[in-house]
Amino acid sequence: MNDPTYVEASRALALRMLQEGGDDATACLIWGWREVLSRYPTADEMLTLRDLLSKQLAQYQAAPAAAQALLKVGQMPLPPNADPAELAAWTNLARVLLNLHEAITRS
Amino acid sequence: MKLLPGPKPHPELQQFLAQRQTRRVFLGRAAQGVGTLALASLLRPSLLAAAAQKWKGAAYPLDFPPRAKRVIWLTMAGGPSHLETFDPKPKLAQMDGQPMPESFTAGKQIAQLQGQKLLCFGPQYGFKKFGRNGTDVCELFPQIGSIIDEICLVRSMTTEAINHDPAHMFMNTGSQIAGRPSMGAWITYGLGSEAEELPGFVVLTSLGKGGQNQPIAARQWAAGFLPSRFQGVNLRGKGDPVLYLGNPAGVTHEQQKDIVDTVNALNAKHDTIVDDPEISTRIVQYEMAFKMQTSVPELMDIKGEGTKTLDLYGCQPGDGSFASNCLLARRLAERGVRFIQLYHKDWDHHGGLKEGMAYKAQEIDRACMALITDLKQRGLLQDTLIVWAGEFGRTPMSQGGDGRDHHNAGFSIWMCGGGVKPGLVYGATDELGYSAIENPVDVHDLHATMLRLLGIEHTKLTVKFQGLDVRLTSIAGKVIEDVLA
Repeated sequence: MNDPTYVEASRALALRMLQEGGDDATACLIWGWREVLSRYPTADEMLTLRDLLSKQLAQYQAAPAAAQALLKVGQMPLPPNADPAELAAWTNLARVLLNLHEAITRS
Repeated sequence: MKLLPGPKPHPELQQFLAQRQTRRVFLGRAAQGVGTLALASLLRPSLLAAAAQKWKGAAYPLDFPPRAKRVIWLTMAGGPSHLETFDPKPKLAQMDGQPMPESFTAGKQIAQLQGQKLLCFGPQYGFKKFGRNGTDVCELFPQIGSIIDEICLVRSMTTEAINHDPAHMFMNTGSQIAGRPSMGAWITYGLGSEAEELPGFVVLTSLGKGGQNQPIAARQWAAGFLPSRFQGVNLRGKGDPVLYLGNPAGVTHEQQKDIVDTVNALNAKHDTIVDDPEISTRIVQYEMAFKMQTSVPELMDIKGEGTKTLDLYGCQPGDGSFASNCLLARRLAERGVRFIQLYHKDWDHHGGLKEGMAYKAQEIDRACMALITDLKQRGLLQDTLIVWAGEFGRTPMSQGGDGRDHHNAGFSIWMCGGGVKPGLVYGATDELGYSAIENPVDVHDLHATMLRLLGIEHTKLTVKFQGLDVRLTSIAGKVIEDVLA
């Protein structure tokens, strides 16, 4: 979860969620969840994800330097138009997805 | 910026949710008798996580009043020579260079010396008398000698295995074949752990100056068929004790907690559907890993110990030495860790025995004394069992003129603290140090005795596996009553 390679991969997944997932955050969350777990999230799971995302977003909006620091982990370049707080929050959300039992294990 | 979702599920989800198969899963669980828990945890997934959190131990009520609460097992990896540590053999010195009498070796298992001319190899160092009983200890180990009255020395240890990996496996699991739970896993399974912030079974490794870095496989501290939450956790002695222990840059402790909690909440929800026991293990381990992000740096920071303690052990913060690991073992014991296993490598003296033993003595002599002294000062020795043991001993015969081969027919180990008789020398090898001839002890006996000291009858701590009631002592083992205090 803290391995720089995993953090970097989480950022790459976050970017794809934001770029390919759709117009709103719900669509992006569903897209990312399906990409990782090959199924739809439940309403309950969506609420859990949303709670984390909104909290992390508020935290990074209040701490832009921290957002920048997280986005510097690894070597993948950032797109010029990225909103650092938003991408940092989604990176942490992607860290959650990639660490789910269901993602790590064939279950 | 993407618009955050509202509390209502996205329309795309509605139909899918309506079709969810909760009924089938719920009925399946109810049939297994866990319907109530499943229902409760469907409503509140945290319940399931909480149920999995604290393991109380499978061995309660205990069969005997426990004399020890925890174990510190000092594994001297490579196979220390008993003939240059704890078993004096003047007769072997007299016969140095002469053929080893066949009466000693006939029909016995021999490792690398098979088919070679077997010549006696006299002890390379002298012995001195220590303690009230004048116990002979090699002159290389005066510090251990100085506290020999605290120690129960066993000079009649034997093992079935004669090569490193199976011998470690046998000493750790009671089976030479990999796959059984390690004794630390058995004991944590049986007794649970008092440590809330650290794993119940912790492993530390160190390497000596001799530089033989024989690998120790992580399966030596595996949980085998026990749930993986009981496996040993190896902390690195140098550098980061656990790789990537710190949060990524830009992530606060609070944020990390939310992230771990979210992973666990989602895993718990998933478990209500698939009912996989490894999920509760993962939840417990993520919680433990998060706690360890704080507890491990605190554990490893020995700078605050003060020069008196550091001088006692003879170590410097961060040096990764066996001495440092002994100090960490005391700190782990204080924090309630149940089974602490230290591996000190580099005892495999096929050649260069004389110089090699001098290195080993420098590395462990003071540290062992310090660990015992320090535990005693803090009142911890009385309920901590310390075991010092290699996976086997070494031949009285020479290998290459300056070394000794692997040897399993007789060697020395010692125990100290938690309910063992201090100042006792138990058992003996023959006059050349080949075979244990008086009160031989085998590995199952040692395990049975350790479990007895912890309050467990070794025949009763069993787990059903492949149709058998499997136990640490296999189908053998007798408690060595004479060493019990």
